[in-house]
Amino acid sequence: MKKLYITMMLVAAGGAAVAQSQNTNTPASYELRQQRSLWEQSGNPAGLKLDRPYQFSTLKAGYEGYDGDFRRPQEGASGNRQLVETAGGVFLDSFYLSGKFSYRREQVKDAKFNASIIDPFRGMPYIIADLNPSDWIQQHYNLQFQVASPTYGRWSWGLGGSYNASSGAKQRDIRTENYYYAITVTPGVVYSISPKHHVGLNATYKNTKEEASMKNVNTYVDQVYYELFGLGTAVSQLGSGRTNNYEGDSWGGGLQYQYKGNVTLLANLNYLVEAEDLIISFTTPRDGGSVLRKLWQAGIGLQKESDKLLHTLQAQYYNRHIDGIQYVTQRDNSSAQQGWVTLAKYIRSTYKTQELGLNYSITGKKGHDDYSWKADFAALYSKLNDEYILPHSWKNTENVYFQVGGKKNFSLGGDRESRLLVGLRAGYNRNLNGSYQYNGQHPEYPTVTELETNDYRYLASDFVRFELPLTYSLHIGKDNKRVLFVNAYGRYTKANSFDFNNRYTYGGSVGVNF
Amino acid sequence: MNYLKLLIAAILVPVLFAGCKKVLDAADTEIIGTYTVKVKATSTTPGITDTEGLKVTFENFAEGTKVEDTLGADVTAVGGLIPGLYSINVSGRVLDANGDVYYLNGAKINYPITQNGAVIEIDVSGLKVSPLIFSEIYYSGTATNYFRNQFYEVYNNSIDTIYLDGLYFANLTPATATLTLPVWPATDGNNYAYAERIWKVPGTGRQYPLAPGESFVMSQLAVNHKLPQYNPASPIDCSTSEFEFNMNNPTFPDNPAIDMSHVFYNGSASKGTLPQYLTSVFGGAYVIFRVPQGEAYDPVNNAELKTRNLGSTSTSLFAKIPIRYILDAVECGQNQNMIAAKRVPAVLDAGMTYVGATYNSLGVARKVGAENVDGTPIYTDTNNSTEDFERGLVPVFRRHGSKMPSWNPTK
Repeated sequence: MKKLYITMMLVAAGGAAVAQSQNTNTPASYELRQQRSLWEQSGNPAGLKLDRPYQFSTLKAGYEGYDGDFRRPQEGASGNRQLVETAGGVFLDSFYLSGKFSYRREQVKDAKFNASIIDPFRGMPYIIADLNPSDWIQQHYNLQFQVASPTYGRWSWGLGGSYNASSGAKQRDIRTENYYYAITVTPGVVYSISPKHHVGLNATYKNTKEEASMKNVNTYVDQVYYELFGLGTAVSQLGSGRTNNYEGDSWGGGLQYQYKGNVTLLANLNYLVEAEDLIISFTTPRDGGSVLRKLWQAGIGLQKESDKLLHTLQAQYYNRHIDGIQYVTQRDNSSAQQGWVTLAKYIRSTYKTQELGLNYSITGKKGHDDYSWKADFAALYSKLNDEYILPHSWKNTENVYFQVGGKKNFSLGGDRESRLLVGLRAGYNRNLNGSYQYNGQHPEYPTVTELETNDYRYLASDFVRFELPLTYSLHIGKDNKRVLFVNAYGRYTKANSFDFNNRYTYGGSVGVNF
Repeated sequence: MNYLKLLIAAILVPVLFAGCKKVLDAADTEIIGTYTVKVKATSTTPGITDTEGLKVTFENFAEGTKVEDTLGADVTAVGGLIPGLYSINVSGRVLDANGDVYYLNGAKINYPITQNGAVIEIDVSGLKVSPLIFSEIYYSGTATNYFRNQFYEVYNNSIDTIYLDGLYFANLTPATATLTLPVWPATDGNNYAYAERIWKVPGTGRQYPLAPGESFVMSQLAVNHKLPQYNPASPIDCSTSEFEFNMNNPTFPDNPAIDMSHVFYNGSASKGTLPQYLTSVFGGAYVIFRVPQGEAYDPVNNAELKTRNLGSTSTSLFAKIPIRYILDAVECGQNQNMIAAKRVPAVLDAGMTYVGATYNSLGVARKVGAENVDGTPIYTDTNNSTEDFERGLVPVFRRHGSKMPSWNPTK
């Protein structure tokens, strides 16, 4: 597997050898390229060439740390990450191929209420929670590619794919060792009605799996743990945990329409339905729970570009509905020994998330490929409505988040055309509404009094957030195509609700665009 | 090229089909609602046909829900049940044709309620009221990993003096509650409990009288466990125990407590090679029983009274105890959710008690229902240890003023 990653890294980075990149490769130009790539953002690889891509390569390595008590209970109290990322785009004959690879190693400190899943926020309520604050060590690999064909008549074809692999190990009893993968395949097509009008269609298939093997190293001390069923509903157990096997499949598709004239408009609509089953134990499998996730996403992006300015207006709507399915199972202890028999299944809980976002940015261009300054304004309305149906419990929140930001690209001059990109972003989250009410059994369980109560408090908190990114870059080499950059950033969030104080993140990276 | 296409299709089609099936299966799920079931109780006790007025209780231990109702004349509809596995108990007092009072009891354990309107038929029978009952059990041990202070206290809950000579004590199999239950011979029906090891109170027949309000204690090791050479954190001094399970371990002294007589282990009268009589620190299932006069009970030599677990390849043998012999049974497990792993037939103990952890120095003790004139307790005994026992108590001998028998060897 490592050989595969190394090979892909070399392919992604190796585009440089034949690259005929744009005039500048600065971090600001890289941002601008991403901003203009509306088809890339839509997820349909067939439209990549309509973004007018160019050959590029980037490679960076970074470090990030975080700390502070304003967090969800299942997040680490603190932690750090090390990151290596590379991305590139290259023309192969008349095809355009882009690829990305990233590796992230993360050390999570003192996370609670999660002893069975690498990412407890990925929409899977059926996990194991224990009470011991514990470190996790995780590694995440991500490999992506997108290829777009030349136009055949009015048709363009594309194919995207990604492979994510993660491993995680909890460092304190009850320990767990987890392995996760997700493979996604996205074929797409774009039909050009005219040079100004294009419609796209893509499909998506995704397959995921996560295995978790739990055990105690100190076998003399049996641990209390909780099987979670949602919103604090839990069954307490004693021992060393269990083996969890999560398997999921997703199907979906997207529709796009683009108009390219005085303005560029791209509207897209995506739908994805995912089913994921939890099977407990490999030796005597038992249905432990399932989820059915339905995700809608609609967006419209509008860009108006002149010689000096680029205006971008984007609106996004996102809707995720999860049905939590629980099984009634019974162990067959007759002489037939059929193991666990599933007698019935019911939707016991639902989880709804809705988001509506509006984003406007204005960019002062420096030539065609670089910018001098940038200002952006964003507003995001989000609504969460989770319910456990019987006995009826609920957790809901309604928030609105405003953000304003700007960046200035200073030219520092010199032979190497060094630059300093300085940004500042400020945001304010206002909680409009929210409540958490648990009406099930055992309201004294910590899954109710700590996990869900504090999770609700986090989600219903007012806060302010400031971000300060700094990037220094300079050209290296003789051809002035290679740019070395050093980036540092800090993010500070100050909560104004409940007993939370703050959360801060800091980090930096060094990399090369070429 | 065609072969390549076929190969790709052969791989892709099953994968895509499987992906579709998972999504369609999940989409084909109904939203939960409450169900109503119809309960019909039938008396198997001669002379009693009427079950009206009995209390029916539905308990889903995993979800912690409980629904109670009173039975009507024929079929009683019980509503408000969330689908799941239930322990269903029917109990109460009824009058026969002669006006005599009977305590009836019947149960179904781990019964699935997955169909609205289903009819549930439960047989109820006259309950054997035991004069001897477990009053306190301490099995969990003390941190760190000290298990030698386990003990079992038995109380005379009747108004008569009872001679303990020949009284049997056994722990049932599986030693620790597990959802993988053994498979027993079909011909046994529901007539037996299955013991891992059996002990007996020695004596000539009238050597060990137990007066009303008195209790006796059987300890794994009848010493003061608070002494430095044992575990000072131990909550209990077992040196005043009446009986001890002596496994002839040379590391420990033989104590004043009277040695229990060993009866059965793995098909043999021999104690085996284990250095102590340790029952599960997660909680075992324990019974006391007495063989009716005129009957012989020899599980070592009578092949009809021992069996292996037919669901396993193990050759270990377990003793069959006729249920009609059993005076009292208490089932202990890791926590309330292990009710699904019951080893004890529901007619003997319809519930389960627990302390929630191992080595936490806590035990279980029976609840007091009333008091005798002399202040000694009359304990609650409804054959449901979930209801009858207080859980998570610091263990003590002779709680609530129960008395020590006169022949206690340390007196």
